[in-house]
Parts: sequence; C-alpha cells; structure tokens
Amino acid sequence: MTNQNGHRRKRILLFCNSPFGPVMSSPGIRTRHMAEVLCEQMPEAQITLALPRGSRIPPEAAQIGYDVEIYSTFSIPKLFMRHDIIIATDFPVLAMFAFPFRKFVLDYYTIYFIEWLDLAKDVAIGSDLKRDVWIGHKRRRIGAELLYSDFLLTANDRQKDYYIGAMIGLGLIDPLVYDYDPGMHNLIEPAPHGIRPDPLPEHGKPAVKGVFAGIKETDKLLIWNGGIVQWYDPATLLQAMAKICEHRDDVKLVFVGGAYPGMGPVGLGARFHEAIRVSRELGLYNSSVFFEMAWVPYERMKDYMLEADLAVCTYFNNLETHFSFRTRFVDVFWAELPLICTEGDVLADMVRDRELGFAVPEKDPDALAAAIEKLLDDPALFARVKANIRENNKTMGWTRSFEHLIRYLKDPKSSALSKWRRTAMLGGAWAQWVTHRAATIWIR
Amino acid sequence: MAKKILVMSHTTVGSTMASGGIRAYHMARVLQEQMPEAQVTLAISRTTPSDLDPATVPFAFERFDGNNLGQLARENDVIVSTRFPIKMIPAARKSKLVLDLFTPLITEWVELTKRDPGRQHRRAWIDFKRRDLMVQMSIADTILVSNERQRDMILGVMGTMGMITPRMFETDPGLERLFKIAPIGIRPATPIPGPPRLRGVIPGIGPDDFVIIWNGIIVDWYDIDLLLRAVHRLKDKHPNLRLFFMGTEHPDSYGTKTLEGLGGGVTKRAIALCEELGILDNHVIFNFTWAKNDDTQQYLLESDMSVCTYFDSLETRYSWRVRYTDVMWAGLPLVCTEGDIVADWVHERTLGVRIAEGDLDALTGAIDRLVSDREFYARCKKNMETIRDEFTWEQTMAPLIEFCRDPSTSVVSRTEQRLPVATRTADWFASRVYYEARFGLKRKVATIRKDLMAKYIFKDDTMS
Repeated sequence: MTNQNGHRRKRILLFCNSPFGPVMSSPGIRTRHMAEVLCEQMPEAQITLALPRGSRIPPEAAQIGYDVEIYSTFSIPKLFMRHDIIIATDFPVLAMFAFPFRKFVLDYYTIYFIEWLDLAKDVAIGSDLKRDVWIGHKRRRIGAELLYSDFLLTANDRQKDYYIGAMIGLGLIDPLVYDYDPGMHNLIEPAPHGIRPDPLPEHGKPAVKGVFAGIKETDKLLIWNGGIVQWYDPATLLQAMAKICEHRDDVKLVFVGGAYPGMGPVGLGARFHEAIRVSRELGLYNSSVFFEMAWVPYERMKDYMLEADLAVCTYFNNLETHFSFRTRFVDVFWAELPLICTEGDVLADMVRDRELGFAVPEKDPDALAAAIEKLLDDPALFARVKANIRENNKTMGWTRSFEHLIRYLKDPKSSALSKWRRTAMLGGAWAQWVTHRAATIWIR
Repeated sequence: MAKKILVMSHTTVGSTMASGGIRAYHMARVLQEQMPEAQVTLAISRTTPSDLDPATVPFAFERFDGNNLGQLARENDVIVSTRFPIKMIPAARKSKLVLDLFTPLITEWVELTKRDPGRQHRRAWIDFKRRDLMVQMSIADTILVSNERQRDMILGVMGTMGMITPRMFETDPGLERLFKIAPIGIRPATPIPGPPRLRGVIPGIGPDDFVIIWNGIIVDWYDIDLLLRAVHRLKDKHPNLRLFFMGTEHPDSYGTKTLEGLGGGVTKRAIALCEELGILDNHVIFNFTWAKNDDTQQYLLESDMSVCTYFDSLETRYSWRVRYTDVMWAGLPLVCTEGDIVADWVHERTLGVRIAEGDLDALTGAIDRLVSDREFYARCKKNMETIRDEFTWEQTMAPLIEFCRDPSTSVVSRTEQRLPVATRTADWFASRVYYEARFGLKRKVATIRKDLMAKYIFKDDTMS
C-alpha cells in the first residue's frame, strides 16, 4: 500500500500502549520524539499517534503536524487497517488480524528477556515452578513480537546482535533474502535514544538547593536521575559518599525518580528500600543523601538537572548492563552534566573514550569517591569534560537516531520472511503464549 | 578434574588443515600440555583422509564412526566438538559436553548454499541444520565462542528458544560459566624465515617485489573483484606489486578436481577478470593447491602485507578469520574491509588500514600508502607484532582448560534439559525426514546418474 500515483499520502501509525500524560516514562518520551522527527523528515506522509484510553492528548500535536487517536482494545484491527505502516513497542494480540496486510515496525530497545530474568529475583513470585512458568510466558511473548516485525529497531549494536540471534533461532532469517541483503539492513538496525532537542533553558524554580532542608546553595550537588531497580547498585555509591563525607560536608547526593509510572512496585522495590536502609546505617540519610519519593514530571526534571553539578549512576557489570542503553544518561548529556558511571555498557565506553566523565569499575567505592572528588575539585578538567559533552551532543540528536527508520519508511522493503509464512507461525506462537499465560494465572 | 578428554573434529587433521582441524589439533595439544595427568584423545571421522602420524603427536589419536561413538562417549569425562552426533547423546549422559561454536554456523551455511540450485531445497536444508543446532545448544554444558559479538548473538538464540532458565541465571548472572570466549590462536612456531619458497621459487615473484598475500582460499563472501581492480590501478605506479593467492583448494573438498570444490566458481571468475585486466601471472599469481602448513608459514614470512576484502554481511559480522591470526603471527600490516571485530582493531590499534565495503578508491589508497610510506608501514608492522602475544593458543584456550580442570562448574542441569532435548531432537528428526524425502532421494539419484555417465559415456575429462 504505497502511494498510488502519488496522490494518496503514506499513512504511518505510531502505536503507544502506555498512557500519555504529564508524567511519562521512556517509552512515551521515545514515541513523542519519534512523532516529531517523522513529521519533520517525512512531510509527505500522514503521521498518526494512537494512544490508549485515559491519555492526555499532547498539546503540541496540531502545531507539529500529527493526528492523535484514542483507541480501545477492540478497535485495534480497524485502526491498523487504516494505516500503511504501524510502529509499536509491543503489538497486541488483536493486531494479528491486520498483520497479513500491513507493514509492522517493532521498536524493541531493551533485551526484555534478560531484564525479566533479573526482575524475577526481585518480584516476589514464590516457587521456582511459578517463576519458570512466568518467564516461559514472557519469553513466548517476545517470540510472537519478533514474528510481527517487518523491521526491527534496537537501542545499540549489542542488542542488534542479540536479536539477530533470536531471529535465527526462530527461523526468521530467510536464506533466500540473504542473497539480496546479506547485512540484513532491511530487517534490523539500531536506533539509540537521542538527546531532547530543546535548548538548555534558564534555571526555573529552585528544586533542590535551598529547598531540601540540609542542602545549601553553595553545596556541590550529585544527582541520580531515575529509578533504583534490581540491576542498580546504590550501595557502592553510598559507601563512596560516606568516604567523602568523612572529610568534607559540601557534597550532597539526591535520588530523583524512584517511583515509576505504570510499573507499580518495580521502581520502589527491594533495591530502593535497601538504598534507604544503607544510607540510614551510614548516617547519611537526609544529611548528605536525599530521596525524592514522588515521580518527577519530565518537564520538572530539567530544574533538578540544571541545579546539579555531577550525575552519578552505579550498577553491576553484568549482562543487563552489557546490553543496556540507559536513557537517563542521555538526559544527563542534554543537561551537560559530567557523568560518573560503572563500566560495562556502551555509553560507559563512550564516557571513557570521549572523556565525558569517568567510568569506574563495579563495586569499587574508593575509585568512585576518587573520581567524584577529582571532577569536583579540578576546574580545568571539569571545563574540558563539559566542552567534550557539548561537542558530543551534536552527534546524538533524535533525527540521527531514527535515520535507519526513516530510510525504511521511505522505501519499506523488508528482508523478513514472507508474510504468509509468518502468519502461519504467528497463530502457533500466540496459541502457545495464551496457554502459558493461562498457566501463569492458574498457578498464581 | 577431568581424567579423560576427547576432542572430536569433523574436518581433517594432518599436514593440510582448515580452521576446524587446526583448532581441534591445538586444543588437544594445549590440553595435554597443560593437564599432563589427563589423557587427551583427538578423534576424527573414519572416512576423512588424514596423513597424521599418531607417533608424532603428544596426545592419543583415534578414528570414530557409528560403531564406536557410544564407547568413546562413555569413556571420556569431557567431550569437545563442533557437533555431537545424535547417536552419541544417550551414551554421553555422564560426560560433560563442550560445544565449540567458534564460527556461528548458520550465517556460514546461508553463504555456502548461495549457489546451490533449488530455493526450496536450500530452505529445507538450512531449516534442518538449524534445528540440529538447537539440539546441540540445548545439550551443551558449556559453549565456546570466539568473541563477545558471537556470544551476544548465540545468547539471543538461546534466550529466545528457552535454553536459559531462571535457575541458570540466578547461579551465574553473567553467564560466564555457560559461555567461554576462546578464539582461534596463532601458530606456535617461532616466526623465523627459512630458505625461500616464494620469492624466486614461484614463477612471477622476484626478490625485490612487494608481495601482498591473500592467505586463504577464495569463497563467496570475499570481494575479489574490488581487490583485482585496485591492483590493476596500481600496476603502473608500482610495477613490482604482486598479489599472491596462496591457495584455491579447500582441504575438505577432497576428491574433486581442481577448481571444482568449495569456492571453485568464484576463483574461476577471478581468473577470468585477471585475464580481462591483463594482470594474470604478471601481477596476480594463483597457487592452485592448498598450501601445506610449512609452505604457508614461509609464504607469510616472505610477504610484505596481507589483504582481505569482503562484503558486509552477517557472516562477516560474526566471523573470526583464521587468516587474520596467521597475519598476526607473521606480523604483516593488514588492509581489510570493515565489518568484523578484527577490522575494528586494525583501525583502533593501527595494524594497517580499514576500508569501507566496496570502496575502490580507499582500497587503492590504502595499498598505495603501505607500499610508499615506509614510516607508516613500519608502525603498522610493529603494532601487529605486539598483538601476537595476546593470541597464543595457551592463552586463548585458558577458559577451556579451566573448565576441564573443574567440569562441575557447569550451570546446565541434565534433568532440566531432558524434555527440551527430546522435543528438539524430534523436531530435528521431522525436518530431516522432510528434507530427505523431498530432496535427498532426488539428489542421490542425480549423483549416481552422473557417476554412471562419467564412467561409461564420457571417459575423458569433459564432464564438469
């Protein structure tokens, strides 16, 4: 369904399944930026944003030039049929009816399977059997989603490798197509998170300094911007803070964004409470280390970032880290904050190679404390790092992130296995998923 | 601690070896050297020709076939192989299996079947091979890969197909006990040149020529056209430039005529292009054989640089080319196409020049620079020599040795895998039966017919 005689516009649907509103997490933010970039880069196409019930329609939609539709579960097949290409982070079961006739782009920017394996330890599931069944149904969901994708976006090259493997396993790499597209560039490409396009604003209402009891205007502020989920390691950072606080009292740390909209207990889970416990034990709680308990709106977050001097984030150098692309780091770069993080992920490599801060070994409070103090106390280094970040930001815009997507949308030739083969497989995949889903509910 | 270790090779081991054979040989050698108290056996198929003399190797040498597979499996504590025959699996209940995926087979199969006739045939063949690989992955206690990129890809296969269970992840969150990075190492001989075997010996290559060596055979995924055109462009500027193709015959294509085995078609086309450009035998020299081990070493040491050009493909992305380890061994500056992991090192560590896919100007410029700029050439050579120490077999096989010293560290549970292995084997069997019924018989009939015709009708060499 391409342009017929150039008269009909290509209709592109951005399907979002988490509600839009003033409080938004990264999938929503990504979809919003995608809509903006597509409107700008493909003025000849008609862009529609589909939101679930209960969403607030983004006020800038009309000005930027995309339509917004609110859908319900059962209107999905009809909605999909009214468009040529559908982009989503997660295709619902009912999308199956539109699948044989329309192009599907899957925006998969996390290795969900490994994240869930990690979460399985945190979320109280009970017995091993329950856990295995739960993971089994989640895994089958991924299999079904991959079957849907005519084009797949990942966040980085490592994720691309993982999903190429996944597709090989499922038999989705077509040997016949390989002759024409051996690099599978018309099937899977990375599209990392970009830096928000708005320029750095003037500092608005004070958020931390002078507002939190105990943080003075002259203090050096470290910010942890984002949730504290299973795979983060706040304990090492707190130990480093304890070391710094032994000989100075002008360094303060604030955790912003513990609560996570739409994800229930994930943000305020075991790790979050552990962080509070450790900071109490070390005698830092509410004297040098502060916790913002509410989820901070995307727009308000700017004020926190502008007040901070440094951003820090510590985690374990494990598989989750190896594949991850942390969106919070992109916000850090946007705010031109030097970043101190743990080694292991692609952005940590970038921080090290381009000197945007420091990447330290995991579970090493001494190295971390040394890195923090070095950056705070060496104005020349601090200025150089800031300049590096500003230079680097030019290469990290959203338009550049979505260049492969735009290439595909302009000429939607897919290297995926043919639709009819996949339609048959899809029936089986969903049947499997439904059985396992039922099993999960039954044994709960 | 494993007392008896079996290394199985499905390709030949002897004086002519391709990557699989080289790897199996050195694995056995290093294992025996590092674990003198263990007994290491190298086994190759009974039908594979081999000139290996068991008396000259430090480990035991065996032949396997359908009859003694079970016995071999029961006798050994650890078995290392690129594929475990299905027959062997029931007998290997008590032994630990190390699956050697030093090359991610699927991408290679897709490349190798490119020229095969019959689309449905190709699809069905790859499909049953893929299912077989799934069986292999689910029975393996540990998996050897060549680099992190391959690990990520294979993890994708295994994660999505349900071979990584929450229990495994909990005991081994980095999956370091499941996957071990053990690339192919460099040859153990010291790189000291002996009496010449290339310059002044092979016609067309003189003592003062600048020799670019293509140290391997030519198969589908290499971009030979580009290289020949670059040589053509440079031949007037550098009249002493020589491009030497070290071999054209793959040792596993035994029994076929010259240029009829693996990669023969591509080689023929390359020769035709050389003739067209007028560079055959004066600037481009082919060696119509598979160079023997000693010859290879000497050829490399007498060359000035190495080159390898290929297409951007999944095969390239996940490869670890043996020819590169030879280049490291000989300390030759390298010009190669971007796409695989070594190409990134070439760029980052200045081991030579990395070029973009299909970029003739860049390739011409890169070769020209290495020929003309002596200072740059010397720097690349020096950097290449330092990388040598990182890839000795002792070092690359350390994770395997560590596993053999304590095989109980494996996180795979046989009881947990029993049902998946059974269903996957059934799955494989069904696709195999489908393949044989639809294409296998037809192929067998065709082969027999061709043989009979060759025998009774065309007695000379006109059959191709």
